[in-house]
Amino acid sequence: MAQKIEFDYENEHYVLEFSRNVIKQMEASGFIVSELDIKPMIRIPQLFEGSFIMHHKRERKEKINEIYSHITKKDELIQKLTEMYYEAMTSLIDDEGIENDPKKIEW
Amino acid sequence: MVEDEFGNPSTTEPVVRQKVLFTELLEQQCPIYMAMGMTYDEYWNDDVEKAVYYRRSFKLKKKQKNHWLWLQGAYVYRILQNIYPLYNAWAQAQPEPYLDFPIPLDAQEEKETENERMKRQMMEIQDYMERQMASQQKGEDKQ
Repeated sequence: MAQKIEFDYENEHYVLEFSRNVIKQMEASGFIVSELDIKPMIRIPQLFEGSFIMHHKRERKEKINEIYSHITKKDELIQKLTEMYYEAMTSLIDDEGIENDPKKIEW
Repeated sequence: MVEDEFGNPSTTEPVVRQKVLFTELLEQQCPIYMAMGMTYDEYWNDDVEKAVYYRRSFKLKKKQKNHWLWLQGAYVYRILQNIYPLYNAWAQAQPEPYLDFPIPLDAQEEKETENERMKRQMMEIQDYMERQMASQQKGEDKQ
């Protein structure tokens, strides 16, 4: 199972997740993951908002902002959301054959 | 004019950060995963981790298919060995019939095949003995 973030807010259960289609949609609407550190004020809210598309497509932007303002440990949240975002890509990387490589580099 | 970190005019070109976009890569990979058996919907809308399992399953299927093809070759080779005398006028040996049992795939199957072969041999011997005894009985009755 891919990584998810789950929480309850105002009697509603929220599941934040990214699918490849969501990533495609986010990039089409201008989101650039490599700009998270240089334009955090724009990109972080976009990333958080995008994580709602898969399971809560109809959620209003105001409500999402409200949820974001109540979330604790925001740095960890952003880190996890970024990992989840990258997972859509890293899950396509095949590095299983490397297990038997005599020259494999462990780090 | 571009300035360096101390406010002086910079002589070097400003660093242009490359934009990383996944869309193109994801679109390139889609037909590859569809060839592995993943549906379009699963690839784009489902759990992203599914791709890992489809890839592993595809590798196993490929290995399995290779094994079946190897096995098929082994049957053909065995049969050619068995019927070789039919195509060689000077051959001393007689052609042998088709295999009685499939080629065992593992030690367990090999043991089972061996047991079955032994059982069949025992039954043939028993059958032969019974026929011999019956013919002897007939001979004694005639006398």
